[in-house]
Amino acid sequence: MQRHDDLQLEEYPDFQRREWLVQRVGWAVMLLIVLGAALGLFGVGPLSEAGAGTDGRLAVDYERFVRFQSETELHVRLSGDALSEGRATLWLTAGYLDGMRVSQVIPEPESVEVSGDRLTYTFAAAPEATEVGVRFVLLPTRIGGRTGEIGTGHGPGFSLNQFVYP
Amino acid sequence: MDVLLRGAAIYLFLLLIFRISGPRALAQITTFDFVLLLIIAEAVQQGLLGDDFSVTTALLLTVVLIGIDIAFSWFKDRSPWFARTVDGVPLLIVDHGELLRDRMDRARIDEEDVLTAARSSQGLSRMDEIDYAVLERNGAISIIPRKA
Repeated sequence: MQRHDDLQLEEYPDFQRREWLVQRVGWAVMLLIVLGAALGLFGVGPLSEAGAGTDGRLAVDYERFVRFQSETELHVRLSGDALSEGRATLWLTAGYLDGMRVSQVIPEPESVEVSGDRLTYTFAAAPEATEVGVRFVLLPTRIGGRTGEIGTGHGPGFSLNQFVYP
Repeated sequence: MDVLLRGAAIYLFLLLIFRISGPRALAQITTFDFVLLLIIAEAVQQGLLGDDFSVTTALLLTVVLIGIDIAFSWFKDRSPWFARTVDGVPLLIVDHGELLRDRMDRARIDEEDVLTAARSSQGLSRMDEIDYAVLERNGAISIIPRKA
């Protein structure tokens, strides 16, 4: 504490110096946050882009980092065995959809079938189509890590890993 | 439960970010600072309430925010260290008419800021009419004129 003769002011030089130091560190942290955000650490950006599949039947693109109550999209391209007799099928684990509200599926599925822990979506496809694209518009309703699997037919699925920021 | 966490998280985050940016950041020195304050309020409001339009949530949130404020002032009364950490400390920037440049640089204040405060609060026109200037905890600069 430091006092002045005719000015009743209590100063705390040590505290003030520490405060300035903490402020400078804080600015650096803010810069890092902005850089991280630009790169996609909080969603939308190179660090956030994730993919799964690409085994000739299924290719998935999604956001690794998403935010609570903020829409995100899951893009799926189905080809090869995933298409047969004018139908394209795709399943998602029900556990994944526990914390994700499906706002919209584009195109609209012909049917959705529940079996055990899976939801199977069937889409009508033109008989001559070799590849179809499907978009799921999802709204995260739970905070934290989300894992799930996506696949087609009876084969093993590919894992989806997302983190939902509050 | 959710609204309590949201309220507390936003309160603490805003406190932290405004302490880091220093007392002068949004002391309403320009019109744009005021506009910025409104934009920040709008941005934060969405995170506080989400898509909940109920009166219950609005009242709960008000209780939470005011409650934290009361709790903080209770602790500030009992712990001078806590009070300094939350509110900051005043800083002398002009001592007997002499500008303390090092302090002003660190607090991001220039001579013009001191002269503006001198003109608007005391009607002083020159630096040599100022005895003391203090950067207060609320970001304002108080001027004590030199006694004739």
